[in-house]
Amino acid sequence: MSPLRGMNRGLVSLMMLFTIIVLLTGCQEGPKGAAIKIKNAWSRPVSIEERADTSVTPSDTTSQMNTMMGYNGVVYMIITNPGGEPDRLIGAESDICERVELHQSMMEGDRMMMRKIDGGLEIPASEKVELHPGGYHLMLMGLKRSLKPGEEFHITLRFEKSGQQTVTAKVKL
Amino acid sequence: MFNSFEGTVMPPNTPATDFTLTDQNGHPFTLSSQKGKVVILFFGYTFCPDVCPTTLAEWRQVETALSDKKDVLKFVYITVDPERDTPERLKNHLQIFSPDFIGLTGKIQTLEKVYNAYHIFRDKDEVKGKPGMYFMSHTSRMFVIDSRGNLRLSFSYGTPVKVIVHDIRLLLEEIS
Repeated sequence: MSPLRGMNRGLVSLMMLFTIIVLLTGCQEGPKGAAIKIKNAWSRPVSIEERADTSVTPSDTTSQMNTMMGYNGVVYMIITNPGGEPDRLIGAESDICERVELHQSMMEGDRMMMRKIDGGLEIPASEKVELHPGGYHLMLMGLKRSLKPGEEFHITLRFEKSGQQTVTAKVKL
Repeated sequence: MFNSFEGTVMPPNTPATDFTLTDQNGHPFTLSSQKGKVVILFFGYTFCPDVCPTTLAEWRQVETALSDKKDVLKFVYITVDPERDTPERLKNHLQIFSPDFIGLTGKIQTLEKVYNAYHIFRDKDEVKGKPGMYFMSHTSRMFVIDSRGNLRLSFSYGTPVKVIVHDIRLLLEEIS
């Protein structure tokens, strides 16, 4: 075999290898509409006072207020968007409460403020967003039952592009 | 001797303002009666979903780390929401975290004197469309009173548990 022909074969093999590498790298970036990943969903215990005799309406103002008030829980989690386009968390529901809202705790000096976030939460492309104590969190408004350490419950999250996902949140101290 | 505190050190010889409030069992609790013990103080409310439960969870870790000193260490949680935080409500809420945490409430006139003394800001945030429902914005700093009744340290929200444990242990070591 002439040296030139040998070189051509080598070059072709190299080009094939190069193409394979490029294809593999392209695959690792993930398709544009890749589904959001949610992990480490967790919640804190909440005690709902059960009145022994539910046929009796509480007579004192405080108890009446407590009944009206509703008890609120919290859910934290890590949301990862592996795709090439941003997505948005636009809502959430759970059977254990009346409704779920997105809130953000913020420090202003020593003062802890909390505000409701309307318009959802952006999950940027190829990034993760963590809902954690002292920051963004999902609030479970109007809990229907107590949450005890070790229990689990389902929460369904709705994303603008990825659609719905139901995850299990664990109650821990 | 220099103690290397990592939290915020208060001016020396500042007596902690005394108060008598009602605990979760309906009994009076007086701060000055705790002399001889270290007292950790926090102002929160039981309907708080995020910051206050987080602080109580951190207290659990501090309590466990300092369990050898549990007889001379008191965790005291004063409500900024006396309208809703009755003694019973405080008891149900706190015992999830520890049976030994003390929850205090009282008449608003008495509580306001305590809020002023410790520079506690608090504000109601009404929930739109839900009359009677509100959250509270409030100071989230934790205060520590030493065994002689002096206000010695404070920790901002988010101070790592190991820093709190480190500093409290130094104060506990002052008890002879």
